[in-house]
Amino acid sequence: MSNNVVSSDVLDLTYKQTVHSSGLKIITCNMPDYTGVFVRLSVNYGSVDTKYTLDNGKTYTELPSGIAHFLEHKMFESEEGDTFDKYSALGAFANAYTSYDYTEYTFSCTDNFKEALEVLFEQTITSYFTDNTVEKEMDIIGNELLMYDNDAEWICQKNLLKCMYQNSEMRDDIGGTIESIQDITPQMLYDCYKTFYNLHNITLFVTGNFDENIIFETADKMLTDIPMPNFQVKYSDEPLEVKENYICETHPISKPIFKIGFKNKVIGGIDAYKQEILNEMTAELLCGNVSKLDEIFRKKNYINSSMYVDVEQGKNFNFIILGGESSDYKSIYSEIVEKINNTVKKGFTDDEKDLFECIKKMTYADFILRFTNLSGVLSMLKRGQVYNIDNIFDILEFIKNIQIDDIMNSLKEYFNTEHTVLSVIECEK
Amino acid sequence: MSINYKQFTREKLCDNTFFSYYIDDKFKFNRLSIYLSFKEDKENIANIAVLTEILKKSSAKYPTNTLVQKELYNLYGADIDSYILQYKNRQMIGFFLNYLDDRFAINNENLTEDCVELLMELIFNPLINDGGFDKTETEVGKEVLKELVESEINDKILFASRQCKRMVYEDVDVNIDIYGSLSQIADITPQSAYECYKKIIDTAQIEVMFIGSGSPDIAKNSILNKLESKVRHSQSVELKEITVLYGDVKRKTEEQNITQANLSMGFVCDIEKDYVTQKAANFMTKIYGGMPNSKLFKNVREKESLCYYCGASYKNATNVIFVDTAIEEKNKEQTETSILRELQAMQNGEFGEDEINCVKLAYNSVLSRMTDSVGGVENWYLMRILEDDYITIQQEKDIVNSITKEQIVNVAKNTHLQSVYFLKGREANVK
Repeated sequence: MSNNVVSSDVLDLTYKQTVHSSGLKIITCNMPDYTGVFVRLSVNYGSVDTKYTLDNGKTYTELPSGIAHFLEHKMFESEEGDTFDKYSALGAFANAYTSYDYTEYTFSCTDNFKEALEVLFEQTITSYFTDNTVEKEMDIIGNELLMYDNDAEWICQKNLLKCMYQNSEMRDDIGGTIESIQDITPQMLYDCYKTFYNLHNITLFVTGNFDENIIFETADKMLTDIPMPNFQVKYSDEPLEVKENYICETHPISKPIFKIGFKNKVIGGIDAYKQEILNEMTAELLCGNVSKLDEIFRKKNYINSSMYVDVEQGKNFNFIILGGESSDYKSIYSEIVEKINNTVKKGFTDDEKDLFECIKKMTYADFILRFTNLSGVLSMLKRGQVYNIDNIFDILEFIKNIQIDDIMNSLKEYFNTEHTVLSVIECEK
Repeated sequence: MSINYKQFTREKLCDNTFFSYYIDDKFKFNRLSIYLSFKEDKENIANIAVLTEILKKSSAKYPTNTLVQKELYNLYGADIDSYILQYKNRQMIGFFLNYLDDRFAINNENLTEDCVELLMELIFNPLINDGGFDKTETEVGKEVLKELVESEINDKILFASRQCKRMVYEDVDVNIDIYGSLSQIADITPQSAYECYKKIIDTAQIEVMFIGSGSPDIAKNSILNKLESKVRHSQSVELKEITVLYGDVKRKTEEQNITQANLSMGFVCDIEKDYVTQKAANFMTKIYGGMPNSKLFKNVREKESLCYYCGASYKNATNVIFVDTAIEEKNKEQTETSILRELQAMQNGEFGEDEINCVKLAYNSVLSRMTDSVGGVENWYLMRILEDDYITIQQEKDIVNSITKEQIVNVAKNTHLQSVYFLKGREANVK
C-alpha cells in the first residue's frame, strides 16, 4: 500500500491518501472534535461516459443516454431487498447522485460506522439486475424526468448546454430521456457495472470522527483485487465554437430566468482547479455585488438580486455560467459583452484594482470555510483527487499570491465573447 | 468574561433582552445573530417582512447597499442575511452575519469588532429621511417581496403544497403568507415600515446569539451598551393553541402548462397537544412517509412505480400532516387510493419495532450531530426559544427513546383526511 500524509497547520487538519490492495483508493481525514462520520464512494463513471472500447479501439460499445443514472438507481437493489433499509436499520443516512462524470454513493452516521461501511462495500461489489426490476425502474425514473421537465432552472441549463455543444455527450440530460431509457437492458447494466465499477476505478472518502482501522479491516475482509478492464472512453470531438448563440422557451414562471454561458477548452490537473478559482474571481469582479455592472443593472432596474456565477469543468467540458432573473436579459447580455471587450482593450480601472484586493481576501476566506464542516471537507478532498493535487492546502498560498494580471488573463481567455450562449426561460403570458 | 466552552449559555442582559453563546474551537467562522420576537401582526405583515430587506441593506453610517457590500467584502467576504420565522401566534425576524474567525485574518484584522459594529449599526441605526426609511431602499424591498410572492409558482411541488395549506387553514387563524399579499406589499410606504420598525424595537423580545470559535464578549458588551439604558416596553408573547377542524373532504383542482401533475393532501391529527404525543406524531409521519424506507416510499414509489417523489411532513404548530407527490395525471386516483391505503396500514399497526427503531436511531444521530455545525447549534436552540420548549438535547433523546408503537398507532387512528389539492397540466401538455 502506498501512503501519502498531508497536513495544514493553518487549518489544523491532516488527510491521508492510500491505495488498498484491492485497487480502491482511500482518502481519509480524521476530525475527532466532531461527532459524525461522512462517507462518499466515488465511481469514475458519469452521464458522458456512453461510448467505450475494451479492445483498444477495434470495436466500440455505445450506450443509451441516462444509463449511468439508471445504474445508480439499480445499485440500491439486491436479492435481499433495498439497501436503504439496511442503512436505516443502522441509523445511517444514505444518498446517491449521478453527475456528468461521476456517480457517488454517500452515507453519514454517528454510530454503527463499521456496519454501515460494510453495507456500502456490499452494495459496491454486488450487482443485481433483472427484467422485472429494470422495467419497474423505468416508470420511477420516467417520473423523475417529468419532475425536472417542470423545473425552469433545469430546463434553462439543459437548453444552454444543447446550444453550447455541437456533438458532445454534454448535450444529453444526465438522466437521459423517457425514450432513451426504454433501450436499457439488464445485460447493458451488467456490462457497465463490470467495466466501470471496478475498485481500481473507485475512490472512498471518509471524514469525521472514526477509527481508521475499521476502514482497512473491513476493506481487507470484503474487497478483492479484480484486474481492471482495459477500457477507454471515447468522447465526441468538440470544437470551441458554440452550436447556437440563443435559445428561448416559455414556461409558467413568475419572472424570466437567464443563463449566459462561456464555452472553454478542457484543461486538467492542478491548473484546472487554479483556473476555476481565477474564473470565479474574474466573474465576481465583472458582475458581482460590488461591481460597476451590478450598480448599473440595479440603477436601470434590470435586477433586484445580484447575478450568480457557476464554473463547471470535467472530463470533456469546461464552461462558466452567469445567471439571474430579469426581463431585461438581452440588455444585460449586451452590457456584459461590451464590458468584457472594453476591459480587455483598456485594462481595469483603479476602483476595480481596489475591489480585486477585497475579492482576493474573500476568496481566501471562502477556501478556509470549505473546511469548516464534514461534507465541505469531503468535497475538498474530492477536488484534490479529481484534479490530481498532491496537497490541497497549497491552494491557500496560491490564492494569497494571485495578481490582477492573472485576472486579466482569465478574462481574455475564459470569458471570450465569441463563444457565448444566452439561454432564456420566458414567462407564459 | 469567563467562557463556558462547548456549552450553550443564555443569560438575560436587560429588559426582555437575552444573550446566548456557544464556543468551540473547531468552528472556523463565527455567526452573530439578532432575533426580534413579537406577537403576530397580520395587518402589518408586509411592513414586517420588508424590514428584513431594508435593514440589511443600509444604515445611517452606510447609506447605500453598495457601501454595505463594500464593507462586507473588506471583512473577508462576510455574509449577511435575514429571515422570517413564525410559530403559532409568535413571529420572529432575524438577521445574521457569518464571518471568518479573527485567527485566520492575514493582517491580524479585528474582524469580530468590525462585524459586531456593522450588524449593530444596520439593525439599530437605520437610515431615516422624512420620518421614514430611505425611499429607494423601501421600493427595492417591496420589489423583492413581490418577486418572492410571485415566484411561488416556480416550484410546482411547493406550489401545490402551499395551495393545499391554504385549503387546510382557511377556517383557522393561521397565516402561511409570511410576506403578505401583493396588495399589502403595494401599500407599504417608507413611513409605515418605519412605524412598524419602531414598534418592534420597543416591544420585541431580543435574542442575540454568538456561535463560533471567537470571543463573545465584544458582542455581549455591544448589545448591552446599546440597550441597557434604553427604555423599552417589551412584551412577552403567550403562545395560542391552534385547532384545525375536519369534516367532509375539501377538493380543488387547478391547471397550468406543466408536464407532470402534483398532488398534495392535508390530514388533521386530532390528538393531545403535549410534547410527547406530538413526538409520537413525528414518528408516525416518518414511518408513514418521511424516510427512504417509509410506507409511501416502498409502496407508492417502489412497488407501484407511481412516482419518483412521495413524502409526508408533520407541522407540530397545527397538528397537520401533508403528503406531497408528483405523478402522471392519469395515475391520480390510483395514487390517492394508495396513499390512503398506507395510512390505513398505519392505523392497523402494520409496522414493527424495526421501523420504530430506525426512527429512533435517525433522531439520535441527528441530535448527536447538532453540535457539529454552527447552523445546527443555532437551529436547535433558536427553535427551543421560539416554541417555548426549553429542553436539552439529552432530554429530547430520552423522549424519543420512550416512544411506543401504541402511541404511534393512536396518532394514526386519529388522523383524518381534510383536503386534497391537485395541479394538473392543460390538455395539450399531457403526455
